[in-house]
Amino acid sequence: MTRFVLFRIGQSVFTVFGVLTAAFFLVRLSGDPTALLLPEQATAAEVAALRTELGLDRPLWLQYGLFLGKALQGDFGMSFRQHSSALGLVLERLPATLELALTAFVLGIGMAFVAGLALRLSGSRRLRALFYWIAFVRQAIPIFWFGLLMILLFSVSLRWLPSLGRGGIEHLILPALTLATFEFALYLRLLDAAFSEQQTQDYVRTAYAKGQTRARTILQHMLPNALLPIVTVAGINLGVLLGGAVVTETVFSWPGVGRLIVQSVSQRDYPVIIAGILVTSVVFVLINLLVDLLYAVLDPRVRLS
Amino acid sequence: MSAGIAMAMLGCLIAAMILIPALPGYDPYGQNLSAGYTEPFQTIEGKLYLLGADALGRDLVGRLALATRVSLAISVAAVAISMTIGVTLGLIAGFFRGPAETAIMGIADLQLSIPRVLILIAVTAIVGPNLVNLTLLLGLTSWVSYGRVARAMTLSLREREFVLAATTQGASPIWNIRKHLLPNVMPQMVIVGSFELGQIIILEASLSYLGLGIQPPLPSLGLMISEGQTALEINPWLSVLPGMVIFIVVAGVQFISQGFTAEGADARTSAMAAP
Repeated sequence: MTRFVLFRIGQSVFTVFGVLTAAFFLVRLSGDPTALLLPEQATAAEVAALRTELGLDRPLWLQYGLFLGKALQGDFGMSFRQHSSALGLVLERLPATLELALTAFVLGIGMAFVAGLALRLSGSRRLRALFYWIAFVRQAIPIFWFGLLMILLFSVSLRWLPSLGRGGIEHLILPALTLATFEFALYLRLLDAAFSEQQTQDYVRTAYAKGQTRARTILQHMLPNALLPIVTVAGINLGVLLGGAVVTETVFSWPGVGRLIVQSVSQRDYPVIIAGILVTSVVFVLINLLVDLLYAVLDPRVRLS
Repeated sequence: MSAGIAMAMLGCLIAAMILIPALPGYDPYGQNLSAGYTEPFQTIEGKLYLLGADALGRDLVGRLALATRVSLAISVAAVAISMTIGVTLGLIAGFFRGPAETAIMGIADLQLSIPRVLILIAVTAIVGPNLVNLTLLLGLTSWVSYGRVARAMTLSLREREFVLAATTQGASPIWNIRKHLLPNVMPQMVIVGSFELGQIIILEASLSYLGLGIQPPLPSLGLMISEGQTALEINPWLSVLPGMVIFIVVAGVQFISQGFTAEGADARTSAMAAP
């Protein structure tokens, strides 16, 4: 178990390191940022002064080392456009993103469980076909267009809910539902597949043979086993959720990290882009690590192998 | 039954996409300011706007046809690029094992550890958004699923008799990969590709919607939705119609992909059942 934990922690550190390295070299490849920072009529002396200030006159390996050292201290430099630190800007937006993503995740997986259990307990083929049809349709709709349809229906036509910004719970409903329905489609299929896999196991037959009711067999015996495969993919699917959050935030002008990154891209504000990508990756890697450790706790086969 | 409907709709759409730009009167760039924000089925100055017109009075039929062409061309090209990369790397990793495998699978894991949209946004920020960059980036970042499947298949194929026999007769690794492994891996790759195509179409639309993909004046489905969003209260059709096209295309592709997957599963079961 200790070996497994250490291995996974090492892997996570390596990933974050890889992201940092890729970010550094990509930005350096993109050319000289002084052209962005200085007015067009800047003199050669001014350009040289700024290059020295930013450390661009040093050899590449030294720049890389300094970048890594500073990044470890949480210093990604100042935003090119706003007078505050890049990391500060990103962290300021992080709670909004987490609020949206967590709400959507809980809502989506909750709906998937209710639907998944309902169709198992009822055993109805029609219900199953209906849920699968809903999931299929939802997965063929891009998140941003679904969000727009929600705005069109609930904000423009019915005027029930606000279409943009962050504030009270009424602001959260539309973006959270947009993301949650996508999660629902994803997890409904996974959960149903996991249940189908359990259905043919010996312990299910034994449970029925000793006279256990259908509901108790499903809830007490099959559900805990069906949860395991869901936990393994939950970490990877989180990437889909975070990616979806970036798009959703833009549709609803939700002031989160994703929208900040997209805005920074159009303003070519590289320090903020790097800080944003890194913070998102760290959150993603950390949650994946926790999920894997949780899986090892839940399933002895993993930690013993 | 419903699969047939989906495929028929997809077929009609592709036929329309090819035929419409050849007809007169559907110029995707022709502006007519007095027809701005025309709603569907309205006639302005003697011209029928079947699906309406955008802010500049450009006929939506022509623009949708061109946008669908652009989106589909990018997505198909991206799938071809990523499949080529993924199959090559997967075969190399699976056949040669050793450091090559460690390196390739390491990169794959690293790429999976960051959401694909974020990688695309970050790299687009640096190389600049345009049609060629978008296609290349979508292709370069989507190879992982092909690579993993190709590697897994190669690992078992390389131990099979027909490969071992060729090796003992002095076949070079390249010959073995080309003649024995590639043909056996390809059917499965087409299945993965058919699934990926739907994902890539949505991804391309999302990036263009964010302003990081296709740039105006060239239309793309995602870009048209974003342009229409500013006029949601005036003429919602500007955003709704391109979205419907995406939905029909992706749903159609998914149906075909599911058919493939079912057939593939049958083929695999029967192959395993064979002595």
